[in-house]
Amino acid sequence: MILALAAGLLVLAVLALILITTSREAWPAFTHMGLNFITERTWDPPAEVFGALAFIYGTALVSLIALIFAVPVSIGIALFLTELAPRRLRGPAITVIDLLAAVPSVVFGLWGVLVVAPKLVPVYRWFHDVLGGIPVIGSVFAEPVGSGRSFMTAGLIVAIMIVPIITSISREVFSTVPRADKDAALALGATKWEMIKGAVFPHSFGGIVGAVILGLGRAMGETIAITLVIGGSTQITPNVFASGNAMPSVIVSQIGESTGTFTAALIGLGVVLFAMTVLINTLAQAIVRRAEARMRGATS
Amino acid sequence: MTIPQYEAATVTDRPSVNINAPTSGWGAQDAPHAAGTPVMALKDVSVFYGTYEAVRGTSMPIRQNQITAMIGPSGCGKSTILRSLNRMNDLVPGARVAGSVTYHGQDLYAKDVDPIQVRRRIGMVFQKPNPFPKSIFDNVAYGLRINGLKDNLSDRVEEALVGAALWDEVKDKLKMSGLALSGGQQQRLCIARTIAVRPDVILMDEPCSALDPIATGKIEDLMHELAKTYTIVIVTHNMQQAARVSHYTSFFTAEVDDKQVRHGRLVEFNETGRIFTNPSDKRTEDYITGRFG
Amino acid sequence: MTTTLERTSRGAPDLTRRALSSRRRITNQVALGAIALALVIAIVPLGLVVYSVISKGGGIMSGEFLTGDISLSVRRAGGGMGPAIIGTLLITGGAALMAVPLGVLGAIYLNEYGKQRPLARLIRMLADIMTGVPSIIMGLFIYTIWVLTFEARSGFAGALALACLMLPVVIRSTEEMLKLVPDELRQASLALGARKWRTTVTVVLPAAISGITSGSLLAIARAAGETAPIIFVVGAVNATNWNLFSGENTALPAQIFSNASQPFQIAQDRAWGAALTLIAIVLIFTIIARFIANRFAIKER
Repeated sequence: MILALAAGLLVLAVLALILITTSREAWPAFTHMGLNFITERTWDPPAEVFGALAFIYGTALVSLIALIFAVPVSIGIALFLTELAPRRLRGPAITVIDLLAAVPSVVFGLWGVLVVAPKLVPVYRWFHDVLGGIPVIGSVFAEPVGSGRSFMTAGLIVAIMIVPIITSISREVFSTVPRADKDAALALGATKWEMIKGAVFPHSFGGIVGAVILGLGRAMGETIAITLVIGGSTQITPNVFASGNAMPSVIVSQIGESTGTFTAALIGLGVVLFAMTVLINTLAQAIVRRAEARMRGATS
Repeated sequence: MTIPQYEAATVTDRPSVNINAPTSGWGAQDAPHAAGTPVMALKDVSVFYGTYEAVRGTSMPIRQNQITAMIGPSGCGKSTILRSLNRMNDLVPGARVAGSVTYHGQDLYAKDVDPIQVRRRIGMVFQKPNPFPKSIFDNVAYGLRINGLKDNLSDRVEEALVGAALWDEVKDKLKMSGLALSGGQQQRLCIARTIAVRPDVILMDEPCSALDPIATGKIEDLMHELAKTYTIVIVTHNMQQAARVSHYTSFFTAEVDDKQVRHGRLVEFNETGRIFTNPSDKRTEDYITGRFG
Repeated sequence: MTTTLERTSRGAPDLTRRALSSRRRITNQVALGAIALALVIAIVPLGLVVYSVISKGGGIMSGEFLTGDISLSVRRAGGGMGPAIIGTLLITGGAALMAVPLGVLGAIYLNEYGKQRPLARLIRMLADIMTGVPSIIMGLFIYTIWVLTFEARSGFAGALALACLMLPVVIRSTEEMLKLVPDELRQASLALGARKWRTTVTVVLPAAISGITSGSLLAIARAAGETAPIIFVVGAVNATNWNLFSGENTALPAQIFSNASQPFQIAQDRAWGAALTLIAIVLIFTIIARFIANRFAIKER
C-alpha cells in the first residue's frame, strides 16, 4: 500500500521537480533578460542577448499549420471509422492509424528533410506564382526558400504526426454519441451526412475541441522532426515558405555547445515550453472531461 | 409443430376491408382517404439478423387514421417488426427483411426505394425520449431544415409544438436546451419534431415506458388527437395502454422451435375490442388475462 | 424544389432516390466522399515513408551494418550501427526496468486503494498532464538534474529520461487493465481471508497481466523511437559501450538525427539504414504487444 502510494506520488514529484530544477537552472537567463526573454526577437548568444520571440512565433506558426491540415483529416478518419466503414474495413483502417503513430518522429524528420522538402519546392513556387501578387495573402505565400526547409514543411510533417492522436480521441468522442440520437435524425429522413451534422456533431463538439487542443500540445512539443525540416534561421516573417526555428529545435540543436547564461537561456526556453504545454493539456483534459460528463448526463 | 395460419383469420374477420383492395390506384385519388383504409400492409414478413430469424411470417394491415397497437411479451419481435416499417432495421448490420411491406401499394424494400424517403413519410418516436442536445426550437426545426423548408420556419415550429400539446409549456423558452425539459415534455418534443415534417404514418416504440403515469396520460390523450391527422402504430408492453388508445391490436408472442431457437410470431390481429373481450386464440387470452408473460 | 410539405398521403408517394433533392443528394455524397478521402490522405504519407525507409535503408542493410562499429567518416563507406543498436536496447531496457514496476505500482494504488479519493484523482490528472509533456522537456529535466550535477553523460541518464516518458503511460494503461478485472475475483479472494495486498498480487495482477504487458510494450516501443530526450544526455560514442552507468553512449534515433543533417550521401544512407533498423525494433515490440493483447485479453463485459 505504502509502496504503491509512493509510486503514484512519483508522478507528482517528477512534475514538481521538472518545474523546480529547470526554473532554477534557467534563473540566470531570466534575471539577465527579464521579461524581454519572451518579447525580444533577437537571439545572439555571443552578445548574450536571448530573445525567444522568434522561436515562440515559429512554434506557434508550425502548430497552426499542422492543425489546419490535421484537424479535418483526423475528424474525417474518425467519422469514417465510427459512422461509415463496413466492419471488415474498420480493423485495417485502425491498423493504419496505429502504424502512423508507431513511426518514430525522427524517421518522419529524415523523410521530411531528404525526400519531402526538395520535392515541395516547386509546389511552393507554384503557390507563390499564383498567390504571391495578392496583397496580404501574398506575404504569406512569399518567395520559397531554396532548400524547402520551412515553416510549411515543418507544419505538414507535424500534421502527419498528430493525426493519430486527434483521430483516436475524436473516435472515442464520436462513439459516445447515443444510438438513439442518430436514429432520431435518420427517422426524420436525414441523409447520413445530415445525421452526422445534426446528431453527431452537436454531441461531440466539446470533446473534439479537447482533442484538437491535445493535438496542439503534441505539435508544440514536437522536436526532432521540426529541427530537421524547419531550416534553423531566427526570423519572424509571415512567409510560410521561409525557414525559421521553433523552441524545442533551438534547445536540441544548441545545447551541446552552450555554457553559462546561454545554457540557462536554452533551459529557459524549455521552461516556457513546459508552462505552455501544461497549460494547454490541463485545459484540454478539463474540456474533454466536461464534455464527457455532459454527454453522460444527457444520455442517462 | 405445425404453425397455424393466423393470416387468414386476420383478414377474413373483417370482410368489409380487404387489405389488398385499396392499394392499387391509390395515387390517383386526391381526396383524403376515408379512415380505416389500409395505408400499409405487411405480408408474410420475416426479419433476420444474419441467419437468425427474429420474427417470422407476419401479416397485418395498418389502417388510415387509426391507432394500431402491437403487444406481447418481451422478445416477441414487436419492435423488430415496427422498425421494419420505416426501414430502421437497415441500420443494423446483417439485418434482412423477407416478405413484403407495402406503403400505398409500393414495396418499401424494392430496389429503387430510398430509405430516406421512406423515413421522411413514416416517422418514428422512440422508447427513450431522445431530443438532440440543441434548443427546443432547433430540435423541431431540424427535420424542416434538412428538407429545405426554411420559409415560415417559426410558424411551422409553433404549429408542430401546438400539435404535440407542448406549445403552452415552452413558448417562452424556445431557446432553452431540449434536454432541460422533463421526461414527458421531452417525449412530446420528440413527437413535435416528428410531426413537424408532416409524415403520413407515425411509429411509436414504447413511447411511454420511460415516463410516469401523468406524463403517460398526456401522451395517450395526444395520440387520440394525432390520430385525426396521422396513422399511428404503437408498440407497447402495457396492455391497458393498448386497450385505452388503440383501434386495432396485434398480439405477438415468442415461440421456441424444435432447435430451441426463439422466434417472434404474430398470433392474432383484430379490432382492439375483440382482442380484449373475445380473443380467438388461446395464447392471446392467456396473455391478456395475465396467465402468461 | 422536389420536397414539399403537402400531406404525402394525398398524392402518389415517390419513394425513389429521385425524390431526394439534388442539393441534398450531392451534399451527402460530397461529404461522405470527403470523409473516406481523409483516410486515403493518411495512408499516402504512411505508405511513402515506409517505401522510402525500406527502399533506401534496404540497400545498406548487411551483417556488417547491424554489428559493426560506427564509422568516424561521413564520406567513406563502411562501418555500421552496432553500438547504436546495443545502446537503444540497453537504454530502453533500463528505462523499462525502472518505469514498468513503478508504473504498475502506481496503477495499483490508483485502482485498488486510491479509487476516487482526491489524492488519486490528482495523481490521475497529473499523469494525464505528464503524458502531454513534450519529450524534450524530460530530456532537459534529466540534463539539469543529472548531467549538470554529475558532469557526465551516460546511457543511464538517457534511460532516466525515457523512464519519465513511459511512467505516466504505463500507469494509465495498467489502470485501465486493472479496472477490467471483475470485482468478484477480488471478493472471492478476500472472502478466503487473504489480505488486500495478497489479493492484489496473487489474484488481480495475474488476471490483468497480459493487458499490462501489452500496454507496457507499447510504451517501450514509443520510447525506443524517442530522440529528443536522449540526444543531449547520453553523448556520443563510436564503439559499443555495454556499461549503462559510465561513459557516453549512443542510440539509433540519435544516429539517424546526426546523419540526416549531413550533406553526404554515405551519411544519409546510414540514416536510412538506421531508420529501417529502428522501425523494425519498434514494430517487433508493437506486434508482440498486439499479439499478447489479442491472445490473452480479459474478455470485456
